[in-house]
Amino acid sequence: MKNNSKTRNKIALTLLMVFVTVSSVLADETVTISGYVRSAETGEGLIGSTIYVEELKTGTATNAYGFYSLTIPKGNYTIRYSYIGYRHNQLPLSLTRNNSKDVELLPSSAEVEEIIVRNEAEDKNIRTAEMGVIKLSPRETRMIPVILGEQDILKTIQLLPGVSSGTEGTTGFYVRGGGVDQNLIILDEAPIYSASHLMGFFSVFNSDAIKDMKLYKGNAPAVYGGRLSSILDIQMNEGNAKKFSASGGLGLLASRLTIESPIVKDKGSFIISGRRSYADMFLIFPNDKSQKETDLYFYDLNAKANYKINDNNRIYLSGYWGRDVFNIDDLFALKWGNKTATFRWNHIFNNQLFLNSSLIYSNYDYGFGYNFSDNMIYINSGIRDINWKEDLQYYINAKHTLKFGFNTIYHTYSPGEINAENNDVFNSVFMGEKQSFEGAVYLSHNWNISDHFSVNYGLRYSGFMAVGPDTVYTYNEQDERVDSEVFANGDVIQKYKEIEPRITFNVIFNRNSSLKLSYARNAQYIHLLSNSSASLPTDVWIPSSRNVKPQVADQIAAGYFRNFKNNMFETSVEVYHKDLYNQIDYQNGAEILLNQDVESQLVFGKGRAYGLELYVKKRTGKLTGWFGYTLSRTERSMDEIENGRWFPARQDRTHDISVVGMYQLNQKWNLSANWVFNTGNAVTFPNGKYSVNKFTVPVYTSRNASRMPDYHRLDLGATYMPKKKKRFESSWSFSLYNAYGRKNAFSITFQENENNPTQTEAERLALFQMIPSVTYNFKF
Amino acid sequence: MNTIKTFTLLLGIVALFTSCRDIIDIELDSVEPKLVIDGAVTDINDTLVIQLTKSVDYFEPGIYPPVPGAVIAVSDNLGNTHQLNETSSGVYTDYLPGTEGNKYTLSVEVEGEKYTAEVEMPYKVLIDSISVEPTPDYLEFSGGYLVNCHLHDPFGVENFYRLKVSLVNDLEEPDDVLVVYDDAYVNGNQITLRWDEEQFFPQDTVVVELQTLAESTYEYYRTLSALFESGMIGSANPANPITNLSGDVLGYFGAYTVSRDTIIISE
Repeated sequence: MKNNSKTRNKIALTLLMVFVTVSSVLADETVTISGYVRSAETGEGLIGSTIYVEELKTGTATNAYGFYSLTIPKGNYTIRYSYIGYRHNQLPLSLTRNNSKDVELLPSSAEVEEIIVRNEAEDKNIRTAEMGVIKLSPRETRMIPVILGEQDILKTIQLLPGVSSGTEGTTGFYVRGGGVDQNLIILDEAPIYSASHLMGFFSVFNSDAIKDMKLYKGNAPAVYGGRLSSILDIQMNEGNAKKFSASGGLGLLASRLTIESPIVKDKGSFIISGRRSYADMFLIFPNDKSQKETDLYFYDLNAKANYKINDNNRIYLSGYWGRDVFNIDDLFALKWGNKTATFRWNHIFNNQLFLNSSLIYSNYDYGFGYNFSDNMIYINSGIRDINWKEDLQYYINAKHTLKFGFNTIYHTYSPGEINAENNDVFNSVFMGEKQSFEGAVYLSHNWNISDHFSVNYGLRYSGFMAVGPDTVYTYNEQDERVDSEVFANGDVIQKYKEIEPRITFNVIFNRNSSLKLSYARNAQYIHLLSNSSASLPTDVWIPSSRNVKPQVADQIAAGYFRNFKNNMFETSVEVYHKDLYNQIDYQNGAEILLNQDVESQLVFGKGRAYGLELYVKKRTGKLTGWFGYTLSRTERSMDEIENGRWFPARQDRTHDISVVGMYQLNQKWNLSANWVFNTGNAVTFPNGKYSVNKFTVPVYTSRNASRMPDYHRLDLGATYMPKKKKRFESSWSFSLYNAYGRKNAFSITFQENENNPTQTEAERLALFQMIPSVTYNFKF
Repeated sequence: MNTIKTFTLLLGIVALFTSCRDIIDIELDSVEPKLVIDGAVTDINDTLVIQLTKSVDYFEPGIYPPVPGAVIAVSDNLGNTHQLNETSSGVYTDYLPGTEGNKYTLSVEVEGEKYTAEVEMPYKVLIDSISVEPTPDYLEFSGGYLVNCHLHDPFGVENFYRLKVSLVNDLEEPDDVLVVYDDAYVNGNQITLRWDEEQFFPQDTVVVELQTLAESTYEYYRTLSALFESGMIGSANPANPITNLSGDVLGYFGAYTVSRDTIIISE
C-alpha cells in the first residue's frame, strides 16, 4: 500500500508540473478559434470531425458534442473542416483576435467522395495517440447483411479484429479475451446492463436512433473506466434541427419509426425513435405447437431533445426505455429491460474551456416467473444507478489538450426477491438491497510534442465503497457461515481504491505510417454472475464486498499503422498482452439465483490473454470493406479449479477471421457479403461415463479441454434504392444469412441413444441455416 | 410539415426458421477407469446394496466392469456396524433397513485405497393425496392426464424431495428423468408437485413415489439433473455431481425415505 501511494504522489506531481509548464507557455501572440462543426442537413454536431490548419500543419478534432477549440499564433490561415462522408469546407481566415466559428458541412454523395479522398480526416488513424479503437456509425454499416435484416451495431463490431462473438447469432461479445461483463456499454453515458433482446439474438440498440459508436479495446483514455476489457460508447442521434423528418422500416422481425424535428429552428430539436418486434411469429421453440398462448416480443423507445440556451450553454435530455416480454401461458414468464435517462449541460466558460455536466439514471431489472405447485412464483432482481459526472476539456493550444473531471455513481442492487402475495404456497423472500458508491477523479493530457511524436497519458483514481444497511457474512472452507455483522444505514462496510494509469505513445514516421505503444490499467468494482453457456437476462450483478475483491487488469499493446493510396487503404497490426487479477468463477454446482450465500459459491483467480490483430480496410471506391484476423489465447487459473492449472477460457479462440465486402453495382443496387470463421469455443465435454442408481452419468476430467467444431458462415445482401422522389427516399434490403447452410453447432448435448440406452451419443443443435429476409426502409 | 403518408405493409413473407438436431462424431480423450460407489440407505428395502464398478470411455457401450474384493462396512451413530458381503461380483449387501434420524457412515477399502461417506436418514414426509388433471395444451404432448402429488411440508426443517411417477409395470425400468425439489421458499406449506414429464391415459395404474432425501443426496441429484438439461442453454461449466464420498471416486452414498401411493386414471 505504501509503495502504491508513493507512486501515486509522483504521478500526480508530474501531471501538475506538466500543467504548470503548458499554462506558462501561453504567449500573448496567440489567438483562439472555437465553435461547433455540424451537419448542414440535420444541424447535428459531428463527432470527431477534423479542423486542420494548412500553414501550420496542425489541427484538432471536435469532441462528443461537435465542439472544437484551437489556439494558434495570430495570422492569416486556411482552415479546413472535414468529416468522413461529408464535403470538406475550406475557409481563409484572418485571425487577429479570439474568434467563434460554427461550421456546417454537407453530406457528400458517393461520386463526390472519390474526389475528396485526400482529406486530413482520413489519416486520423495514423496521427492520433489512440489505439485499440474502433469508430463506427450506422451509416457506414447499413449495407452489411444481418440476420433477419435487423441492423445491429453490436453484431457489426463482432466482425472486427479483437472482438469475438458469443454464441451463434447473439449480441454478447468478448474483447481481447475479456468476459462479456467486462465491457461497459454506455448509451448517452448511461450504462446498459443487459444489451440484449430476445435471449440475446438482437441488441437493444435501434440503429435508427444511433449516431455514433466508439469501442475502446482496453486502452481507453482516463475519462472512461469501470470495466476491464472495453468501453463501448454509443451516442444517440440529436434530432434534425433544420426540418421535420420521418424515417422507418418494415422488417420480418420488427418495424421501426423515427420522427425528428426542430423545437426552434437551429436552436433545439428532438427525436423519438421506436421499434416493436412481432417476434411472436419467431419460432425458436420447434416443439411448441400452441403459439397462441405464447407472448414473445420486445420494444424500444429512444428519445432525445436538445436546446441551445445561448452560445455558451446547451442542454440535452435523452432517454431509453426497452422491454422484452416472454410468456408461455401460465407456465413461464420472463420480462426484462433497461430504462435510462441522461441530462447533460454543455457550458463553454471561454473559448478554450468546455464543461459537460451530466446526471444519469440507469435501471435494469427482470422478473422471472414459473409455475410451481399450481401457483406462479415471481422472482425479481435488478440494478439501478444514479450517476453524476463533471468533465472539463481545456484546449490550451494545438499541442496541448487537458481533460479532467470526476464522476460518482450510487449503485443499488436488488439481488432477488420472491413476491408471494395472494399465494399460500410460497413464502415471500426478500434478500435485501445492497448499496455502494463508485467514484473516480481523472486527468489526461494529450500532447502533440512534434510532427513525429505525440503522447496521451493520464491517471484515473477510482474508489469503491459498499455501504449499509446490509448484513455481511463470513464463510469457512466448507462454505458455511461462521460470522455475521450487521451494518446500519450509511455505515461503511468495505472500501477499495485503485490507481489506473493510462498512456499511449505515437511515433509518426510520415503521413502514412506510425507506431503506437500503450499501457493501461483498469479496475472493475461490479461483477456479473452467470453460470450458463448463454448470456441470460437472469444473470445477476453483484458489487465488490468483503468477500469479493475488485477485478483489475493491466494491458500493454503495440501497433503499426499504415495507410496506402491516399488513405484508400487503412491497415494495422496490433499485438496485446493482458493480465487479469481477481477473476471470478464458480464452484461446481453453484446456485446463483436467489442465493443469500452466493459469495460462498465463488472462486477467485487470475487470467491472461494475448494476441495479434491484423486489419485491412478499403475505405473508398466502388468496393469497400475490410479483412480482420485475430490470433489469440485466453486463459484462466483458479486455485480451486484443478489446483490452479491454466485452462482456456470459454471464449478462447485461436483463429478468428472476418471478411466484409460492399460493392456499389450502380446508382440503384448495392451488393454485400461477409464471411466469418473462428475456432470453436473451449468447452468441457465428458470423457467417460458410469452408472449410478440406474442413471448414466458422464465423467468430466478437465475444464474447457475440448473444442466446439470450427464455426464459419457466409452472409449475402443486396440493397435496392429507387430514385428519390421529391423528399421521399426508400430502399429495399435483401439478405441471406448463412448462405451455404453450414450446420454450425449452437450446442452439443451428450445423451443416451433412445433405442439403445447402453449407447451414448453427441447431438448437435444447429440454428439458422439459410435465413432469407427482406426489409423496407423509408425516409422523408 | 409533410402529411404522414400511408404505407402498405408487406408482411407476406414469413421467416423460415430452420433449427436442426443431428448426431455427430466427436473425438473425446480416453479416461483412466475410475472407481464408482453406488448405494443408498432407504426404508423401503431391508437390504442395503452397495455396488462398485468402474467408469468406461464415453462412447463405449455402457457395460461397467464390477469391482470385486472390497471390504465394506456401514456403521450408525448408535454404535452398530454392518459388514457387507459380496453377493455377486462387485455387489455388496447386508440386512440394514434405514431408520429416520440415524447417521450412517460408509467405509470402503478396495485396491489399496479407503473411501468414506456420511449421511443422515431424513424424516419421512407422506403423500397427502394424488389428483389428476387433463394435460394442458402448451406441453409437448396432449390428450391425456397429468398426475399431481400433494403433500404438507413440515415447518421449520429443511426438506428435500424427489418425485417419481410411473406406470406400475415400468417401476423397475431405468430412469431417464430426475426431478428434485427443495422447500426453500415453501417451507411449512401445502404443496403440489406436478409431474409433467409424461401423461397417462384412462385405466392406467400409476405409482407415485415421493422420496424425502438427505441433503447430500439432494445435492448429488440436483447437480446430476443439471447435466441432463440439454438444448439451447446448458451449464457453462458442466462438472461431476457433488458427492459426499471422500477421495478420488465417483458416485454417492445416499439416504432417503419413500412414501408411495397408487392411482388408477379414470375419465
